[in-house]
Formats: sequence, C-alpha cells, structure tokens
Amino acid sequence: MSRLERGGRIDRGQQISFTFDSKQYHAFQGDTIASALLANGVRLIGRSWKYHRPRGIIGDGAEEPNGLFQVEQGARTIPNVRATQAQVYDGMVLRSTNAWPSVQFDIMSVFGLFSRFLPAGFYYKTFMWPAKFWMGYEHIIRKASGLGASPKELDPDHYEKTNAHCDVLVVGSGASGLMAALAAGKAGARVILADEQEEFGGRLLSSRARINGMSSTQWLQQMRAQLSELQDVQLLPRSTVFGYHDGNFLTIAQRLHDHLPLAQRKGAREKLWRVRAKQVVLATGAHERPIIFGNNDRPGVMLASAVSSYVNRYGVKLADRAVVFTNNDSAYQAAIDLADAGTLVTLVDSRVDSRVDSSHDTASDDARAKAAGVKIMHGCAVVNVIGKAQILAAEIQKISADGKSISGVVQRIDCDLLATSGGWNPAIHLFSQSGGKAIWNDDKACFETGKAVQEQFSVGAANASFALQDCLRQGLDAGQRAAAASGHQPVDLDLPTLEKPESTELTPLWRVPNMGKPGHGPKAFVDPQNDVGVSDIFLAAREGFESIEHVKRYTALGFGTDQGKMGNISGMAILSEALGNKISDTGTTTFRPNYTPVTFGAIAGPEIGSTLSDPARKTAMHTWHQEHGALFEDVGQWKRPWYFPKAGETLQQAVDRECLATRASVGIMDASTLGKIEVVGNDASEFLNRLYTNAWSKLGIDCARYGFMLGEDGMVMDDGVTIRFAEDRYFMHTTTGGAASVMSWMELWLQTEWPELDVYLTSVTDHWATAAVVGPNSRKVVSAVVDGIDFDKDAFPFMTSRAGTLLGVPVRVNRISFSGELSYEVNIDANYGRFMWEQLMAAGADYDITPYGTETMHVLRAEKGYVIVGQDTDGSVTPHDLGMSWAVSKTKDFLGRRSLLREDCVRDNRKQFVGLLTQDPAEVLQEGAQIVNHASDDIPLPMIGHVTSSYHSACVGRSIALALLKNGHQRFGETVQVTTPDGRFVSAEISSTVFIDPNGERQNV
Amino acid sequence: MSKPTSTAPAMTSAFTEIDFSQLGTRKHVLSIEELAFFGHLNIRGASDNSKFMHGVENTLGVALPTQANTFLNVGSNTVLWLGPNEWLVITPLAEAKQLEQGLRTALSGVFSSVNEVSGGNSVLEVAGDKARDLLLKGCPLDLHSSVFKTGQCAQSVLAKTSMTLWQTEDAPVFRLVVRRSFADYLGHWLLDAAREFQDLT
Repeated sequence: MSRLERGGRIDRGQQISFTFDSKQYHAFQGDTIASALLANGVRLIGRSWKYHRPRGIIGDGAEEPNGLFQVEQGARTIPNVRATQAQVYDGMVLRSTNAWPSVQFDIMSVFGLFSRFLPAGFYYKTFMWPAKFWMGYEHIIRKASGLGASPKELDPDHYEKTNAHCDVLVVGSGASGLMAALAAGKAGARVILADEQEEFGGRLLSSRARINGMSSTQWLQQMRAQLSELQDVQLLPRSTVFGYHDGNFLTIAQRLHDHLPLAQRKGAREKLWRVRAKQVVLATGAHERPIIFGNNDRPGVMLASAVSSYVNRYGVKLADRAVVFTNNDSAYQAAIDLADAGTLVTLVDSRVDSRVDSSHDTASDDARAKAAGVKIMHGCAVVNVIGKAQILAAEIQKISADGKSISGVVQRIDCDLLATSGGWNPAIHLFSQSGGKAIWNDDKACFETGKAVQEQFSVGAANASFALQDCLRQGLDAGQRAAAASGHQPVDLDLPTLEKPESTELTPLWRVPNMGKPGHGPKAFVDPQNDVGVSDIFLAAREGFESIEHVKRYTALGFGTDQGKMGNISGMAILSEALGNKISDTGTTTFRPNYTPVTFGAIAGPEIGSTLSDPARKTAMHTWHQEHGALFEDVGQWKRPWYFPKAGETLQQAVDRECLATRASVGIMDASTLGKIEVVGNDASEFLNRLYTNAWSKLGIDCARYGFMLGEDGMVMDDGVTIRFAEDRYFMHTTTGGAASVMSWMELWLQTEWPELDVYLTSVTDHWATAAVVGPNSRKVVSAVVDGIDFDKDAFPFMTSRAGTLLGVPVRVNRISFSGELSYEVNIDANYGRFMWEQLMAAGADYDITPYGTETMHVLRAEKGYVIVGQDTDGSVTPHDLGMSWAVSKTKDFLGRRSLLREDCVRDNRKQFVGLLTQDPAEVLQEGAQIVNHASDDIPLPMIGHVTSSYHSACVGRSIALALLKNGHQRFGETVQVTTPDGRFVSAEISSTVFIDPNGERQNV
Repeated sequence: MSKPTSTAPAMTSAFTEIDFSQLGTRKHVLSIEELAFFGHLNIRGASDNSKFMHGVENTLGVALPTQANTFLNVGSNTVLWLGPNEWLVITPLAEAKQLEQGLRTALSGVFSSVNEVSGGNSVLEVAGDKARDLLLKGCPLDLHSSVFKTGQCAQSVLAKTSMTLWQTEDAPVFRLVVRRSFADYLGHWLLDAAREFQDLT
C-alpha cells in the first residue's frame, strides 16, 4: 500500500475490497477509484484510444481524461465511469477500458510505434476512399478503438424525475458556493445547493488552508451544519448540474446509490431534477491545465492540484521523488504538500526568479517551499519524461523568458511523479450554456465569463478569481445579492479570515518548445483522451484549417467523455501559435449540455414501458372489450378495439363475420373516442360558417350535417358531423386523432382573429360514452332500451338527433351513419358507459348483435366510399379532389376558400379520389402501392397515384380499394397497373368509390 | 321485444386497474384516494358581464370567484376559477343535471355556456407529508407552501396528462381533477412515483 500513515478524509476504520481486472485490492471508505488504485500503487490503468499508449490518472475531477472504467458486469454494467469522481464500495468490480487482452500487454499498442503514420485526419484521408471499402475499415477501427461497452440487458434500475423551484440555485459547494448558499439561506431564500462530488467542500476538501483559525475540514463541518439547519435549503450532493437552459431552467442528475455496494442499493438509482430558479450562482470552480511537453502522457504525470488532493484528501503516498513543473504560484502548495508527506521534491518553475526581495517574507510560497525542503529551479522547463508504463525521470532544460526556446544541457532528475500546472481554466460551461459569451483575459491567461444574460452570478474560480480569499468574498456577495434579487432581506455575515492570502500569479506557458520540428521528437499530448498531440494541431493549421471548430473536428480535440476539459483551451492556444493569431481571435468552441455524461436512464426517468412511456387512453367500455377478447389498435393515444376474434379466427375471418353480421342484422361499435366539442353562443352559426366549407345558419334544431374543415392552404384537415341542439348551441364531432388539434385551431381563430364572435368552446370528449348501433335491426335494439324517443322512421329521420333516457339516465341519440346502414349513436354520461353498452348488448341478443372494432368500421365505410381524413387524405387533398364538391359552399367565405382558387388547386391532372377493382377479385392491393398507366413504359415509370385504402370486402364478395389518382374523375372504367410488394403489376379498373348501395337507401329505412 | 331487465343503472370508475390502497395505511405520510362520481359543470362567461355573474350567483347561491387561481367551497359545491371566463363547479352527481338546466335557464339570453362534464372528470385526493413531493414529480408548478396555498387552484399537467389542482387543507391535502380516459395511465404513474415513499407509508 502506498498510503500515508495518517491524514486524509478516508475512514481508515472501514476497509473495503474491490477488484480491478480480476485482481483484488483494498481501499478505505471514502476513496475514489482513482485514489484507491493510486494507494495500491497502480499507475497503469488503461490504454489510449488511438495509439494504445499506457495511461494513468492525471486529475482528480471531471477533467480526468484517462481514468475511465467499466464498472460492474451484466445488466448493471456502466461504461466510462470517471475514476476520479466515483467512490469505491465494497465488492466493486472494475475493468479497464480500451485494452486488449490486458492493460499490461496490449496488442494494439503496436499502433503507437506507427504514430507518425496515424496523424490528424488519418481516418478521413485513408479510409473514406474508396467509399465501398468504408464498411470493412470501420469494422476494424471500431474494434481497435472506442470506449466502454454498454449493457446488453434491460436496465434493472429505476429512475426518478422531479420538478423543483427555488429562489437561488447554487452550483458548486466549494468556498464560494458554500458562502453563497449560506448567505442566501440565512436571508430566508429558498436555496438549492448542488455539487457533483460525494461531499460538499469543492477544492477545500483537498486543501490545508486555515479559515477563521481552523482547519478547512473544521470550517467545512461548521458550514455544512449551519446550512442543514436552514429549513428551505435543499442540499444535493452527488448531483451534477449538467444543463443550463433558457429562463433559468437547469437540469441536475442526482446519483442516489451508485456509491453503495450492489446489495445495499434500493430505490431509484438516479433522480433528474428540473429546476426553475429565480437566481443562479455559478460557483463551478476551475480545471487546472497541464503544461505540455514530450511524453507528457506517461503514467505518473499528474496535475499539481490532483497531487494535493491525493495527498491531503485521500492520504495517498504518491512518490518517493517528485518533480513539480509550473508556470504559476498555485503549484507551490502541491510541492509543499508532497514534501510534508515525505517526498523529495524538485520544483521546476518556468519563470525566472523574481522573488529576490520577497525571500525575507517567510509566508511567501517560495520561502515556505524552501522551508519544507523543496529544491527550486527557476527559468527551467521539463522537456521530456523517461519511462513508459511508469515515469522514471524528467529531462529539464533552460527555457527563455518568452517561453519560445529551450537551451543548455539536459538535466535528468529521477522521479516517480511529475506534477504539472499551467494555470487554471474557469469552468464556464454552464455560463456558456446559459447564453453567456466567454471573453479571453490576457493577464490571467484564461477564458472568463462575460456579461450574464440570465439572472445569474459567476463567483470564485468560475469567475477567474482563483485565490481563496476572493472565492469567499465573491460567494458571500453573490449570495446576498441573489437573496435580495429574489425578494429577501440580506443578513450580515462575517467574511471568513485567512492566515495568509493566496497568490495565483502566472506567466503563460502552454507547451515546452521542442528542439526539432513539430511532428518529430517525442509526442506531446494536448488531449490525452483523443490522442491529439501538438503536432496534430500544427498539421491541421498547415493543411489550412483556421477555425477552432474545424480543427476540433479534424483532430478530434475535445471530443470524448471529458469533452476537452483538460485539453481544449491549451489546444486553442497552440492553434493560435500555429496560426500566428492572438488567442482572443481564435475563439473558443461552444460548450453544450451535458457538462458531464448523463445516463439515458436519468433522462428517460420512469417514462418507459407500455404503461408510462405514453398515456393509453381508455373509453368507459374498455374493460368490456378486454373481457370479450378484443384486440386493440392505437388511434392517437386511444386504445380502440380493433376486432373481436372468436376462438381460432384470423383477422380476416373476424372482420368478414363482423361486416356481414352488421349489414345483415346489427353490429355495435365503441365510438367514444371521437372528439366532441360544444360550440355555444349567438355567433356559433357564423363561427361554423367560417370554419366549415358548408353553410350552417339554416340547419334545423336537432338536425345534423357533415362538414369539412380545411387548413388555410385549402386542404382537408378534419371532418365530422355537427348537430344543432339549439339556436346558439352546436355539438361538433371531430376525428379521434384530430380532436385536440381541432380544438386548438378553433380557439386560435376565436382568440386571435375573431375575438368579436360570441362563441365559447367546451371539450366534452371524455364526458360522453358513445355506442354506435349499426344495421337493419339497430332501431329495434336501441328503441328497446331508450325511452322518451319516437323511433318511427319519419318522426326520427336520418341526420337528426333526439334526447331520451336509458333506465332514467339521460341519453342523446344521433341518427347518423358511417357505414351506410340504418344507424344510431347513443351517448351517455361516461360513468354509465359500460352499463349502457351492456343494456344494448342484452337488447341485441335476439338479433345476434355483433361487437366490432376499427377494422370492420374501416371496411364498412370503404364499401360506401367514405373518406378517413389522414388515411385517404394526406394534407394535399381538397374536397373537390375527393369528389365532394357538394359539401363546399359557393356563396360564403370559409377558411381555405381562397386557397381552393389557387392555380394549383384548379389545374387539370390533380390526384382525385376513385375506387379500384382489381381484375382478380381475390387480389387485395397494398395500401400505399403506387399506380402506373402501363407496366411496359420506359423506366422510370411515371407514377400517377397511390392506393389509400384496400380491403377484402365480404359484403361485396371481392377486394375493394380506394385511391388517389391523377385525373381520376375523368377516367372511370379505364384500367391501370398497381405495384405489389413482391414486384408484380396488378391490373385494376377505375371505379366509383361507392361499392354498395349506390343510391344510399339502406340508411333511410 | 321486451326491455331487458336490469338492476339500477350502474356506474363504473375510470380507474379500472388501480388500487391506491396498496400505498399503505400511514396516511399522514401519503395517501391517494379516488372520490368517484361527482357532478361536474363547466361554466363559461365573462366576469365583467353582470347579468352573467348575477345569473350564476342566483342559481348557485354564491358568486363565482374572480380572483385568479382560487376556489370556494360552498355547501356541497366547490367552485374553481379556471380562467378569466371559465369555472368548474363540482357538485353531487345527482344534482348536476338539474344545476345545468337551472344555470342555462337563468342565463338564457346571456352570452355563456354551461356544460355538464361529469362523465369526463375523475377526482383524486392526494394528501400527506409527501404529497407535494409526489405531485412535483410530474407537475411543473411551484407547490411550496409559501406559493401554493389552501384556497388556491391551478390548471397544469401531471406527467403526460392535464389536470386541475386545488389545495383544501394546509396538511397538505390536494384534490385534482383528471380526465377520465387518462385515469388508468395516471393511476399507474402515481403508484410508480409513490414507490419512493412506500417504505414510509
């Protein structure tokens, strides 16, 4: 074990064990995967994506590019888990990502030897041509590269979602976030504090700073205790704010039990929070960036801040001999932390020593480091490291003050750890997602937040203020201002005091120049996860790429699970150098959600499976249909009975039986799903006149009329029967699928265009349960159970409506028909829907009343040539195309009327609605099949239409079809050819759309 | 043909697959109960039309609430403000038809619309310490006690369906109207969402 004897936030009383590539290791409760492996002396943890070079842990947070593991196996396996952010638990099973057959011996590492032949754009240049070989290449490349494996089984875990509201959402719980949350919370604001880590504290968890005279650990304890006492402060650890959208709407993925042993897990795995915040405080911190030099990807090269974390937070003894390489002051603390932990440290500072005067100041970083025994070299740089699976030594040379050249003898210093710091990149991801623009700051050498475009504050390191004293002050200030902005009176809080202010001075150095040309010498990596080197960026620039967005896509810089958190900014700086631009002119790429990867489970939440993915709407008779063997069809969100097979029946046999029984005696269908809207007011007639193609003013009370609704383009949008109940009251039917959109369409016109019309609309779709009783015996059945209505054919004629009762319950009976048969639609309060249905079934028993579903309904209406909007029409069909000009008024205006006069609507050769009778009566055409004039015409055959509806009709005794056909209304009796799925052409005669009872006598009996 | 013999007309609940009692008995934590078979009337009219307002008040016995997102409990009726020109009256089912007729008569000649929607609505009562947390899983409204209070109502969504929500007690006790055809879907959703609190109930 490489563990320090004491210290750290790990619980040394709780030893746990886990396996990595089948080998067992021990760790302590509180370790991350990364700290546990490092404490076990495991440096080599994976292979790189492209060259399969050995890789180790570099960072300690979201920026980690290499430490990706496959956690657990089978259904619960999770790919690409970041070792730096996942806590180890007892029994955890880890596998390395991207190494075969093992991390130690990776066959693919041979690629590394040929890295010069795998430059940026390699795949584009080599494999994209000839195109026909791509599939073969891709197969091999996918095997060789790629990241973790997704599970193949169904996810056994459960996921939650919730909405939340707050005055102040604080993102990040470092020094600034805690101060902001406490300040806002004490002012009485409703606060949500979310942090991606296991516990609150941010970088203070790794710090030895003393605040208010106490250790950072004690100070954090005190802060957390104060926060947890505030009733309206919601504390969300293990919760990543991954998206920042318009209107201060942010999304948080909370991990509820990934840190627990499998056997201890219960409840949901993750919860997705959808937060609407009045104010947002972005205290998201910063990511340290490395200085780039030769072979800087070797295991043992780490970020300086990560080194402090592993030493201070996890009590890991990282090295016997270490080199710390920096261009700024913050890495001095890492050197001191290492030295205090017993490591022999050489600090290589690329800056010339400017601290001659400050050497008497015992509190300066320089003096403290020296006092801790650190050897300091100024004006020097690490140019290369020696060692492959583990570094053995660093090679150091003099570097010029401008960082552009190196010189002098190469000094080799043995070391097993190289900590590097090139400065800090504020984590402005969420700020950028919120619409804010990042601005380059030359003095601090980083992108910082520009003007906030939403109600937000950026504070601390996220605001490019890296020193602890600034983080505390800005957090406090933002918390008070956010509370005030959300209507709360800020309270005074003392600004915590530090023993000494932190210094964060920096002289930019992005990469150590090479003695040779770029592309020669040791490979220097900018983006380790995507194996993008300095030479790749120079190559891209040489090949003419100037936009960072193009270079990103050409080199793969910033792709992958870390999305360039480590390398992106350095890559931009190096591109600027290659192009001879200023960094501010090169610009930055756009930060998009998600900040770190989010599971599909969290995004889907509970809305999966047949019951919760989409609502299944049911009619009041649904259970009856289920009990009587109905198969169901989805119509919109409705479950409608499709057909009612008897034992052993096929669909066709059942439908044949249902059709014949209905036309011979009586059938019954659940018509509850049709949209129903009460249209009420003195201007109801006028409103309908404008909506529908036909006129309504003269419709008698209790009379019904069929109408077309057109879009503004003149195309059929919806249809249905509307009944006039009173002078100022109509009852409108819409199609099942169109109900909601028709209601919205009507409200749109009423509210925005015709507010002068006195009309109210009320949806009553769900209120009424409707049974359509259809067939020559329907009158006998309905009149047997409905009282108060004279069912005499003249007293209650076709297309009229009557009110009655069914055992005392009010019903509305509409004599309308979608089958051409004598037919009554009986409507009742849906609470009585099933009761009504059973009464009708009982009354119909003597006539062998036959329940039928949508399939038989479709056949019955097709036999009569009745249109189904959305099946026989497709948004390009006018009423004239359908041969229904009789339903279009020539004297009044209506929506879509002008469009009907467009040149294209009145031209010859429009597709028109016709019937088709195949030469072979047993041949049932495919719906959607294309129609041509002659199969023998030259290819490409001109397509002149398509089949819209096609059935075997038991009542007609043959197949029937409906079609939209160019100039069809002029071509009755002609023969066309219809394609079939198996490649044949079938001859069919163009016919009337009416196949039964052409004079419409059956519905008027 | 003789009329089929039958017992009294039978009503069926919209919740055909849902047993809310499986949530357990510790009702102070969370309970969901269907309050079936209420009468529901949707009323449309302009609140600045005194003939309309008086006509309703004379029939209903109480003035329609005009403050946005509030409701009144009067006798056996609950009157919910749904919009500047829309209200929902929940009343015993046996009185719904008569009330509809009474209102239509009283409002004869006044621009208004009164429609019974009893069959299309189902009422649920959701109560207990976890009621807010449960509803928030599918409702985007801010239900914090300082924002949404007893006496308030709102039209919103719950999961993938619409609802009207009102709070009847501080405890809290919420009631919601959901559409009949969505009832089973919503019942399944509620039971799933309540799993988190099951150990507590």
